[in-house]
Order: sequence, then C-alpha cells, then structure tokens
Amino acid sequence: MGPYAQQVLLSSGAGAIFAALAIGLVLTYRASGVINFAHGAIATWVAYTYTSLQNDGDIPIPPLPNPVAPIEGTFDVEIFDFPTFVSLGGPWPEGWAVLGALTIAALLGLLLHFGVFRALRYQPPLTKVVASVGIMLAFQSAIVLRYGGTRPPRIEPIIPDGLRTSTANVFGSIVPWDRFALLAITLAMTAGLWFLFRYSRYGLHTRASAENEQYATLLGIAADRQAALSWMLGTVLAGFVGILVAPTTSLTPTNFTLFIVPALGAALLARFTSFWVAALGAVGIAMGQNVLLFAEIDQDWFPSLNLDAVLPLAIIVGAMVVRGEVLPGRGAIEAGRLPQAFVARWRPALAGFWVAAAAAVVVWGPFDYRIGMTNTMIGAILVLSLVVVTGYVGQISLAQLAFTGVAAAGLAAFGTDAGIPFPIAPLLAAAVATLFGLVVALPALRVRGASLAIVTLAAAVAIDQLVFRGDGWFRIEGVPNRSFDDPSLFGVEFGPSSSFPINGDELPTPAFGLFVLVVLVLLAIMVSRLRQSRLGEQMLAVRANERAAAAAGVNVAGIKLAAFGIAAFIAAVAGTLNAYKLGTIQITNYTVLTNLAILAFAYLGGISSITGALYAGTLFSAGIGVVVGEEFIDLGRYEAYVAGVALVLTAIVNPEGIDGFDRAQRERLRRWWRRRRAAMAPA
Amino acid sequence: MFRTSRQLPILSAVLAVCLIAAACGDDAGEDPADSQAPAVSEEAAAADPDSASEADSTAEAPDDADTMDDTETPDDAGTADDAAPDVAEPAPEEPRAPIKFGAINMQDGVIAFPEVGESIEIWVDYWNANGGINGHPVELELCTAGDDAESALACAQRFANDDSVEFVYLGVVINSAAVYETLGPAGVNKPMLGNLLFDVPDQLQPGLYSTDPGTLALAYEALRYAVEEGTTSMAVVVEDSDVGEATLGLVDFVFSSLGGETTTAVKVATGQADFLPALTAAGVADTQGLILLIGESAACQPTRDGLEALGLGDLPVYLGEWCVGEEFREAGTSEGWRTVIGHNGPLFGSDPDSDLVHQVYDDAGAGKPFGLILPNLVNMDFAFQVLEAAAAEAGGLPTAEQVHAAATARPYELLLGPTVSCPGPGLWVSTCNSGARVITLEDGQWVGLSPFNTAPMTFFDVLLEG
Repeated sequence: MGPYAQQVLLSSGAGAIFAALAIGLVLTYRASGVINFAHGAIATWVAYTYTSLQNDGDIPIPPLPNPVAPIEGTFDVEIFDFPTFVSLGGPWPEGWAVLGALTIAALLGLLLHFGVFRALRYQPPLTKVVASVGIMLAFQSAIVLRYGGTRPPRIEPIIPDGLRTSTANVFGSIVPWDRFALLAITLAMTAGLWFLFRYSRYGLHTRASAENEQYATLLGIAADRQAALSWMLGTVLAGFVGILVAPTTSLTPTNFTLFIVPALGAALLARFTSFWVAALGAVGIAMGQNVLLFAEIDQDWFPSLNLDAVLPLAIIVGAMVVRGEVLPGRGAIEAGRLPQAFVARWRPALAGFWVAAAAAVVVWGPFDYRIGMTNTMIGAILVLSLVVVTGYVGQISLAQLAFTGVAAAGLAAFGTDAGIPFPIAPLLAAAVATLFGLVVALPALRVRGASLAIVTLAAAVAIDQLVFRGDGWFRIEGVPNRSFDDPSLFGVEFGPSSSFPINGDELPTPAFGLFVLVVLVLLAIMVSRLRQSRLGEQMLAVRANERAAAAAGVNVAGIKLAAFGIAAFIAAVAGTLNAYKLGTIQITNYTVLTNLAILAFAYLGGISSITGALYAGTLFSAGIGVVVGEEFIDLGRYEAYVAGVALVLTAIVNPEGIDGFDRAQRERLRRWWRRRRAAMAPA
Repeated sequence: MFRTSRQLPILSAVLAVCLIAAACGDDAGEDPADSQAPAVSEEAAAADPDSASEADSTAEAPDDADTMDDTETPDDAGTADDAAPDVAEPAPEEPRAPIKFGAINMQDGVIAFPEVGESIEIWVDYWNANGGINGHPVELELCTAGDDAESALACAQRFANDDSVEFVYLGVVINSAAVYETLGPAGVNKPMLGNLLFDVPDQLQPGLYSTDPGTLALAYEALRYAVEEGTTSMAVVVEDSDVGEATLGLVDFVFSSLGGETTTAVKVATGQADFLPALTAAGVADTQGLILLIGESAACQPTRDGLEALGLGDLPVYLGEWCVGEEFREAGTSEGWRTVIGHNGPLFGSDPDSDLVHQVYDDAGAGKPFGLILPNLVNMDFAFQVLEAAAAEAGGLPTAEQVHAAATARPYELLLGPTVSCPGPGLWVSTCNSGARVITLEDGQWVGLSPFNTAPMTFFDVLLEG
C-alpha cells in the first residue's frame, strides 16, 4: 500500500475527533438553532474536570459571583469566598471519574439551555453567535484561571491499553488500533444519534419542534423540554469526546476550540442537519488535510502553500457557494431583528463636545487614559466596518481582522520595503485590503446568516495561511524587523513618537492620538452619510428582506459587494493606524479566532449604529472603558472571564447592545418628563 | 419570557456586580497559578549567593558557583565599611533608595504564563532578603500584559515614560516587536533584560540582553550532538510559526554542514489533532533520529505515544525543553530523549544551582519550578548581576547608560548556566548566551550527556539573507 493510502488510514484519529465535534454541533443546532462556537470549550472543561476527579478527586468551580464581595471590598475584610475546587476525597477510579465528569456536563447543558439559550430563542442568529462566543471565552478563561495555561494535565486514556499499544498492519501500513477504535466509537455515536432522531419519540418530537415549534406545542410536544434534553445530550457528547480524545491530542485550554473550525466546516457541509454527512465530511476533511500535507512533502511540483490547512475549508466554502442555501430555518422560531439602525441626527454642539473631550484626553489625560483613548478610537474604526457590513446589510463577517492584517502587511510592503511615502502607502494598502474584501464578499452572494459567519471565518483562515504565512509581498510570518516610520505630511509628523508642544515628551505623544481622532471623525461622518444615502437605504432594505429588496429593484448582489468593500476599506484604515501605533508588525496580532471576540464586542456596543461602534471601541483591549474600569476595579486575570460572562448577559438581557440600552433609557426619561409636564400643566 | 421579566435585568446586574467584585477580591491561595510572594526563609538567606559586602568590595560580580556554599554568612544589607574595626558602635546605616525593577510579563489572557510572573516575584523577594542590589532594596513594578500586542505596548510605554525606571525586565513577552520598538534604540533606549528568545527577531534586537540561547542555538547543539553520537540521518517535525520556519532552514543547512542529512521535514500547526500522521509523513521509520522543534508542552505525550505506536519508542529524539516538566519526568514521557537546554535547571540533586533554586521555591511554598520558570530564573539572576555591577559602578542608583555599560562590560557566570557575555556575536546582539547542553531522562532522573557547548551564531547569518 502506498504512502498516500497510509495517510488516509492514519486520518482516522483526527477524522474521529473532527467528526465527534461536528455531530455535536449538528445536534445542538437541530435542537435549539444555535451554532455553538463554545462546543470545543465545553469539551475541554469537562475533560479537565475528568482529570481533576481522576488525579485528585476534585471538581473545579468556575469563578462565581460572591454575594458579599461589595461589602468585603468596601471594608477590606474577607467574610466569604468560594472555593476554587471542591475536594471529594482522593482520586476517583477511572469509570467513576468519567461518570462524574459527564454528570457535570449534563448539568452544564441544562444550565446553558435554561440560563442562556432558552431566552435567545427568538433572537437573530447574530445574538446566538455572540452568546456562544461569550460562553467560549468564559470557559477558556475559567480553565486558565483554574489550571494555568501552559501545562497539560496528566490524563488517563479510557481506551484500553491493549488497543493503544497494539497496531494493525493494513497492507503494509502500520496503524494503531486505538485510532480505529476512536473512529468506530465516533461512527457508533453518529449511528446512535441518527437512530435516536429518526426512530425514537424524542427524535420525532425534536424534529417536529425544529420544523414548527408552535404546531408542535399544539400537538402537546413540550418543545422546551426537548431542547433542554438536547442541550444535555450535546454537552455530554462534547464532554465524552473531550475525555476520549484528550490523550491523543493532549489537553490545553484552546486545543478543542481550534478543532472547531474544521468541525464547523463539516457541519456546514451537512447543512447542520445530517449526522452522517457531518461525520463523514469531517473524516474527509482530516483525510484531505493529511494527504495534502504529505503531497507538499512528497512532490516537488506541489506548491508549498499550507494547502492542508486551507483546501478542505475551501472545498466547503465552494460547495456552499455553488449550492447557495442557507441553514434550514427552525420553522416556528421567528428570527428576531437586528438592532435598529438609527439615522444619526446632526447635533453640532454635542458632537463638538465629545470630539473636544476626546482631544482633551489625548492631549492632557494621564498616560493610561491617553493610550486607552487611542486604542478605543482605533477599535471604534474597526467596529465601524462591522456597522456597515453587519449592522446595515445584515451580513455577519468574521474576517475583519484579516483585512487589518492585509493592510498592515501592505503598509510594510509599500511603505517600509518599497519606500512609498505617506499617505500613498497606507491608501494603497487599504485598496488591496478592499480587493480582499470584495473576494470574501463573493460567498455572501449565495450564503447568508450564520453560515456566512462560518464561511467568512474560513476566509480568514485562508488569508492567514496563504497570505500571512505564504511566500509573497504580504507575508508576515518570519519576516524580521519591519518597522514603520511615523506618518508625516508636509513636514508635520503625527506618529506615536512625533513631537508635540504639550506632553510631547511622553509616549504616545498627543500627535498620534489627534491624528486617529481626525480619521475617526471623518469615517464616522462617512458612515453616517452612507446611512442617510440612497445606498444606505438599499442596504437596510437588503437587511430587512432580500427578496423584497430585489423585487423593489435593488441590486442585492451589488449592495453586498459594496458593503463588504467599504467595510474592508474601513477595517484596513484601522489596520494601518494600528500598525503605526505598534510601530511594527507581528503575526500574533492577527489570530483568526480573535475575529470572534471583535464581532462580540461590536455587538455588545451596538452593531447598528455609530454610537454603538464608539461604545464597542471602549471595550477593546486596553481601551478607555477597560482603563476606567481598572481605575476602580482591578480585574486582572479575571478580565477575559468577566468579559465572556458580560457578553452572555448582554445577549440575554439587552440584545440591542449598550447603545440600544442607552437610547431606551433616554427615551424612558423623555416620556417621564413629558408625563410630568403634562401633569403639572394647568387643566 | 425573560424579556418581559422586570426582575431579570436587575438580577443580572446584581450578579454581574457580584462577579466583578468577586473577581477583584484577594484570591491568593485559591488558584494553583496564583502569585504568591512569601518571604524567603532564613535557611534560604543563609545560602546568600551575593552578599552586598562582596559587591561593594569588588568590582567583580558575585560568582554564583562559589556562593552556593551554605556556610557562607549572610550579610544583612551591610557594606564593607560596616565592618571597620575601629568603630565601636557603628551608626545604623541610612536605608538606601530602592531600585525600581520594571518588569513586563504576559500573564492575563488565554495564552498566559502566570508562573513566570510568580518566579519574578519570588526571585525579587529572595534577593531582597539577601541584601538587595548593592544594598538597595528592589522595588518590583510588574506590569502584566495579556496575549495581545496592545497591553504589551502599553506596559512598554508606561516604563518608557517613567523616569524612575531605568531598565525593563521582560519575563515572557511574545508580542515583543512593539515593546522593542518602544524601549529599544529606536525608542527611548532603555536596557531590556531577559525575555525568552522564541523568534529570530528577538535574537537580533539591540538593547536587549538575554541569557536564553534561543531556538537556533538549541537546535545547533542538538544537531551537533546527534552527529557526535552517530545519528546522521534525521526527520524533522517543526511547529508552523516564525521560529519554526527559520529553524527549518537552519536544520537543513547546519546538519548538512556537520555531515548529516535531514530526510524529511514536516510543519505542524499548534493544536494538532493527531501527531501520528505528521510523524509518519516525516518518515521516522526510515531515519536514525527525529528532531522535534515544537512550541508547546502539549505535543510531548502525543509524540511519545505516536512513536511507541509505530514501534519506534527507542528512536533518538532531539528536542528543546518543552518536555522537561515534572509531570513528563514522572510519566517517563521524555525517557531516553535528547533534551537540549540552556541551563542546568532540571539537574536537581546533581547541580548546586539547581538545588538552590528548588530550595528557594520550597521555602516560598511555590511547588516545583518547571517549564519556562527555569530559563526565566537564569535571566533574573543575570539581570541582578548586571544591576549590581551597574550600581557598584554608579555608587548609587544606576542610570540606563550604566546598565547598558554593565551588561556589556564583562562576562557573567550564570546561575544554572555557563558564562556569558553581551552583546551577542555579530548581528545576534541580544543572544548573550549561545551555550547549550544535552541532557536525558534516565530511569526517571535527568542526567547530563554533554557539557555546555557554544553555538557559532554568526554561522546562522545565512538565514537572514533575503
């Protein structure tokens, strides 16, 4: 048997892992309409719990709200503290540890359903995506807080030693039996789920609820209970997969979250409906990856483009584009609307006040506030790009950070390497990023909703692998010492270290902050004008109903392309500003999964308005909101955890984001004032 | 249902406030990764490596190897002048001004190294308990960065702006480019001490003084030792990253120049679902050895399992120190592997420096030092030696220029390591130490296989061409 066939056989391990995660994603979607980005993080948490039970007899407790903490903080006393682990008296035997961990997984499933996703049934896909991202962040952070980030714990395999240490000789190819065992268990789980959904009363009811929840309820089906059971099943499945495969993959806080990308691809291929297609698709992806990896090594003519990481996903994207179908909707569940896209009213005094306040902070503020304001403004610009593409047109993009990376790499290529001066170099870089945006927009012509989110995430992976790590002008990986000179125009410099009459001897000098402020104001005006323009109206029409918009003569494809192009340009501006701020470029700044956090923060601020973008900017890493928060409350290592929990709470309680909440409160105040005036008026 | 409930938003807000408040509470002792900075015991103080009187009385930096002697009397921050015989009752000396020890470490976020931050605190406490730096107490100002560039840059700018911070110590800072740009010669030119040289640009950074040999030097020693023991044909599995890319070029180049031959090289992404296909693709069955250039501990056990599964458990594996942790020793993961390290950290029981480090950690109640803690402690001790030399030269608090000068003035004998000198050779200016040695795990105990050998760094210039 040839080496390629051997690679195919050896794919059974990775294929089983991807498949097990993919069927879990399908199960959760079928049960509740949620694409659960947190599926991998849940699997990781349960696997860590298993190791704690087995090694020490402990159960980890995620950080919980301490009801007396405000009193403790005020009076600097310690009255009460939650334990970090609960000891259950020494190491547990393997079987009991598995049972214990899976029981916790089931309870987690119940908690997620009743605490989070039940409340989001009528919310749009974006809200559910954001909630699942929040859960993912919270679990990952909780793992780091409880176990540390760098040491994999000792994990005892549950597959018998006999299978782990013996190998099968398949026509000359040596394959350990445990890989086949993993695959067999996964396929058995797939068959079990298929059987359950097809032939059992539970499956019938769940399918009925998915088709039309109202009618199902009228027939006496408790749809809510069905969903709760499915969530329990989903988390137990995730946990079992974590425990099962952790000895093969090792256990880190992020491993399974990384595997979720190919698993999502397989689930998407299955339209989040067919367990078998998802499982076999996942195995196919693993096979494709291994064969391509080997071909890059084996064949001189084969391009060294990291195709193993890219091509399987590209195939899925291609399939989606060709097929052009959205995810099957859950009939009775009406997708709620996105937050309102208000027309910004031009109030010069108010706008002037805020601009002057921002300028004052940038010029005279203390160090933390100056730097926080600059980070906030760059973050707000990046979120403005999401306001256009997601807020106005309703297209979920998870590739915006990739566009910032393309722009930064372009700035290095055109500015640093080719010596093209400011502002031509950043404009050229932004133009290239805009082209990338237009290419990423192509799938959006055929795919929408949450599936578009996955497709754009795949596009971000492709840009990372092909552009940032591939050979070419825009390569970032492994290219040392590419720094950026401060931008200057007509002899005036406005970079982070450029001279400035006030506070000019401290980094970053106000010159750069003011430059960013000017750019932000210009882009905010541009986006505001866009909202009021005919193009903006057409964008909102597409967001509301594509078919109706098309019937009304709107060129839907053109609008989508325009939105992606404009959004990519705005993201690119943020990317070049960020590159100037950092003074250099490094591939770790453009991690693919960070796109999820950016979308989540944009949502938290209010994804459909310029004010929302400004709010979102305050939440970015080292942004002004974080700085002000830390002034009073030092969250320290709990920052990411609290952010994750806050995202989930926002999605449940206030799906319009901070901006929507702010508007609602102001409106309430106005009404109260009107009523009061009316009551006080003489009869 | 929830949206119609008036109570839910209030309840959520209360929960959120409680959660935040709880997060802010003192959680010391809750978490295995928590920072604990207990005082070092008298016993540890008795093992004072660098008494202030020595530092005052000689321009030479203290010799760590010599000072491991437990019988040495600790000096309670006194100076040689205190011991003057004609003074009957020496007046109590004025406390000296503290030296601000600005430090940046990546310890908030999902990718975090809180144990390195803890080791910085422990070692500062240890030095303070033993007289500080030339009699000056050390005032640690630890700026914690997350796994993003913004927070690392903010830390760097904070120290750049603070005139009382004359140098900055870097624990583990992966998002280092912006930090270098701010603190290095292109910025305010404050000396940067420490950091682990993960990437090639880290090794080329002027103004940075690190004792970490970096992946290139470690890989060189692995290849040199492999040839020495007769392994001339090797497969390579390398992480898909900046440093992996650079090292891949090096392995081919160096190994062939040493007379060896790499058969196949495979790049693997972080978070590999299964190592077995990569090992098979690398053709490990047809080579004499495997060079494993990974960037995470998580790859250790799967690699061992993969090789065992292929019936290649005895294949010589050459690798860096990711698989040196106690858990790997106990599990026998690294048994027989040729592990290249830039220090003697794991050689507990056979190396006095290693014994001292373990003793200090024991006294601090901080468990066993592992992983990146060990190279960080080497950097910490180097930093203190440089600062002590600078303070002695300054006769008080040293300036940035004096720290630069002290770092490059003379060689330093490292705690746990060889003698080093800064700047590094040629373009590799920040690589003060290119010495590495091979150790192996034999019946559960780490033993040395080779002495420290210095890699010819300028030999690697070819990697920078183009």
